[in-house]
Amino acid sequence: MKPGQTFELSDKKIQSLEQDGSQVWDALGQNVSGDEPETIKTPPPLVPKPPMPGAASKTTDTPKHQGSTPQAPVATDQTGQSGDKPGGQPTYRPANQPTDKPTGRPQPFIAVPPRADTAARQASSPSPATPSKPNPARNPRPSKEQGPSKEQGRAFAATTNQNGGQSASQSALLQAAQRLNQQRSYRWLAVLVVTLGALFIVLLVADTLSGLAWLFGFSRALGLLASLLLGLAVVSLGILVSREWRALARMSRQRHLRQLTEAALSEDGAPGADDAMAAVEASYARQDETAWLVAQFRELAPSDSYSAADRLEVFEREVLRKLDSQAVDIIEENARNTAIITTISPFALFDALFTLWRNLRMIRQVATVYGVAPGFWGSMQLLRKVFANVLLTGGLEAADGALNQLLGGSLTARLSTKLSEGLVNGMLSARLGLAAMDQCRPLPFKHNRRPRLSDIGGRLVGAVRKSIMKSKDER
Amino acid sequence: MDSIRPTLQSASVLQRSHAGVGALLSGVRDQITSPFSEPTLRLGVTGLSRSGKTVFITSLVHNILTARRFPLFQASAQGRLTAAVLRPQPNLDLPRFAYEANIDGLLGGQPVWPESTWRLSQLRLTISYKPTSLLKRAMPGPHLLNLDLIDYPGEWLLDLPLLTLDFADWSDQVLAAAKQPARKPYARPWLEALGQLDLNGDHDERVYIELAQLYTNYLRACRQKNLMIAQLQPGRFLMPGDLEGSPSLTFCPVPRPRGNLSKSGFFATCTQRYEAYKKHVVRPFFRDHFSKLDRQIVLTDLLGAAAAGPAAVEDLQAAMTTVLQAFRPGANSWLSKLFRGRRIDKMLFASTKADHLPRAQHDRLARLLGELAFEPANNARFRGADVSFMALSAIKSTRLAKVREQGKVYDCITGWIAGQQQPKAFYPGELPDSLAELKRGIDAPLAQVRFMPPPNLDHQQQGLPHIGLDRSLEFLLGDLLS
Ligand SMILES: Nc1nc2c(ncn2[C@@H]2O[C@H](COP(=O)(O)OP(=O)(O)O)[C@@H](O)[C@H]2O)c(=O)[nH]1
Ligand SMILES: [Mg+2]
Repeated sequence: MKPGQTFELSDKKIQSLEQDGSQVWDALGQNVSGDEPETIKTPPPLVPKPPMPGAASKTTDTPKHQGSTPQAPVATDQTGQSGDKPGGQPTYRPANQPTDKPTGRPQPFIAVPPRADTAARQASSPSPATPSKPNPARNPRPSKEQGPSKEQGRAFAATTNQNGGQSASQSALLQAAQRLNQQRSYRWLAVLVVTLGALFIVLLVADTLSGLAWLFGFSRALGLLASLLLGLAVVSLGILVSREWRALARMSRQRHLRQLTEAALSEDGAPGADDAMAAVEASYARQDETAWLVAQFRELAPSDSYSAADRLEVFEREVLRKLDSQAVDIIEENARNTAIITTISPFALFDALFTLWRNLRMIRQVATVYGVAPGFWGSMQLLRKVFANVLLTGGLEAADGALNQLLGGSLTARLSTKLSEGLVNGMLSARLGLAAMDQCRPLPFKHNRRPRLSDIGGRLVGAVRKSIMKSKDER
Repeated sequence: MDSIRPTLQSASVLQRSHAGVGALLSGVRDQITSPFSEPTLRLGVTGLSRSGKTVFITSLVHNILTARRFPLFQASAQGRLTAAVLRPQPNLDLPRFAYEANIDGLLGGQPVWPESTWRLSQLRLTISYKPTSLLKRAMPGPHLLNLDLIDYPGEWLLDLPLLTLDFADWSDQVLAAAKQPARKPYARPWLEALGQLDLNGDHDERVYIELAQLYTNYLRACRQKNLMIAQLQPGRFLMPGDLEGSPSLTFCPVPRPRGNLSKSGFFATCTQRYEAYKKHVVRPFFRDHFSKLDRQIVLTDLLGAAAAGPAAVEDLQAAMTTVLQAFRPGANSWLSKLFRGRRIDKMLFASTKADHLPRAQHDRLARLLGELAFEPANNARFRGADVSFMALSAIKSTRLAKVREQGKVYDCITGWIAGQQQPKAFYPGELPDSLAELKRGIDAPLAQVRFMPPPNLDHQQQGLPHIGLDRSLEFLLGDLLS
């Protein structure tokens, strides 16, 4: 094509008009011929990420690789961008969003069958050279997908470095954390479980079929009823499984997104920013809950006026600010509830169960805010990672320490044990929630302030004190 | 913004050097927020003619008045701009900037760009904002910032170097340039008339008028061909403003005649008129409007020059360098010595009409501008001013389209090309990576097209679309609104 060449807008060669926030272009948009603009797609990245050189041999410097390692091939899903609706009023409803929903949905980046979670993680973990031998030296490595932020990574490195003269409690914590990551030795166990499960399913199917045949012989009506029920059961199972599957795909996509954005933001001039921004935008435009936010964002910072690096900044400031504050609200509410329940409940077992349930719920809610919406397996995965994260970074002590700071050491001593237990529980919940935020956020914190444990803690103490006062007054 | 280099010192308001007590007092009065006076920012919008000054001012004012949300202009993004109004301007003897007429033209049924500027005009925009700084918040509100803007024909800016040149030197320069091959054809009628004249003799006024006319024609031709734009002086010949027909505009460069100068001869008379022009036209213009600037945005039509060819790029660089010497921030600039000027503590270089180029090339455009304006920018930086470069489109009137041809996808620009009824897509080609390449000439020159504003620019009353206006405002005003 020669510079200076012009085309009619009805020309079939014109593929897409850039999304433009100003909306003055509707007239122009109507002139474009294409019924449904063809989207330009690069294939999604291959499933197993290339092993990180050096990651296998060294342990303590692994966190440094976060964000600066060369990333897997980049998926630019431009559906959200270029699937511009041809003209019409700019009503940004989900219904009006690009009509490529059924077809244009990109492949999940990593297709993980729900049941084989651990096996898949082993398969995708680095070093094809040492396939099966469990490597104890590598164990304290925070798993790559776990993606602790740099800060946490540093904290982790610090703990492992001082390993020599450490207190018993801390090494116990470390061991617990190690156990969480020690999955390679379970490979054969996984094979056993999977084969047993498969066997069980085969037997079940055979049994059901023969049962059905018998029922038909017994009574036609009953047979029909039973097969109807069976059909329903199969369908619902299918739906459940596919939902889980999709949820897991969402989560792995989110992890991939985070890697992209971290890589883009860590380098000067942000060469990967274009791809990272396109991926973030596409991912959030796809979901009904956030589509309107993305529409607003596009209006505010259209892609042909702002560089991708600028748009990442605006995305964080405008879109994520809203999501962050929603997440913090959820975390605060949960921390408050846990603290109060623990304080007033007489049964320790009840506390524990309640806290576990609340925390799980909170983590799911936080994830949902960021558009990850984990299924059951996903929640478990998240919970495990969040716990591991908190353990690795000494989150328990942090919670305790922050509380001490807030209340002043002497005060904690004077509080009733129940109350201080409640507060510690609440702080731990908050810490878990913040870790979940870190896990699910598509961008690292850069232009927005990272919510601090002490902020949440301060409000927690105030709220708990107030509610206890109130209950005392009522008494 | 391409790069904000670290500055040697961040110029604090109170540390500014002011020569006289009066200047010091006025500086303090202007800069410090107090219940009795309002801080005022004199923003210099500097640029040669057709560089986009009028469009920039119009878009800036309109977007602030309509409270457009600017994502990268923090005061606006954070919702701290509470209101803005146009208020009576400080200089009552100046015409008011024709904001309303310009915006009506842009938003009308047949959108047009503002008419080219033929005289000086002024506008004061007052912004009311919520500060973030504790000190300011402690003061009783409302917190206001006056933004004083002036618009003028870019041609006049080129008169600036005349202030240091006497008539004979200036004439020598102009005559030498006129004899170069590229310009000679346009200069011939004037040079021939000059050759037939007795330069020491007395002449009728008609001769002066005729020669000035011939010289003006030569200047016009040069401007049209983008030739020698650094030397299109005197600026008022091209854009006389209110001085049309005045005797201070009837002279032209003259070679120094041999022998004794006659006092009433052609050369001597032209010298007198040249000096009068400097004294009564050039000097007051700069004294009143340029020596008191606080901040400056330098608009450059680099794309236009690139389209016109290597010579135009060279000329543009020369013109910018000469013009900006006067604005040298810092006490040692000869202009500030002459007029006791202020210091300009922030200087933004913007390459305008960036909407003629796809987004992906904007960074390159800003880099090229950085090379083009290296010398003035470096000067400013050395004296402690903040300098930045960026690609800008005050009113974005195009839209990006991807065009596929033979398996490749090209970034094209769509919009209403001047003179055409239908919007078209246009492939602008690629800018080279360095200024050296640009000066060597690009083998595939960006064709020169002019995009008109599209209809319905602001149909939601949410302000005009733009590229980089918010970045530039953040750089120029951000700290004053915090
Ligand atoms: N497409 C486009 N054209 C512009 C823009 N700004 C200026 N122009 C063009 O440049 C011409 C000169 O602009 P103007 O503001 O009058 O220049 P001035 O002489 O410096 O005041 C206008 O008539 C437009 O054709 C812009 O942001 N986008
Ligand atoms: Mg103008």
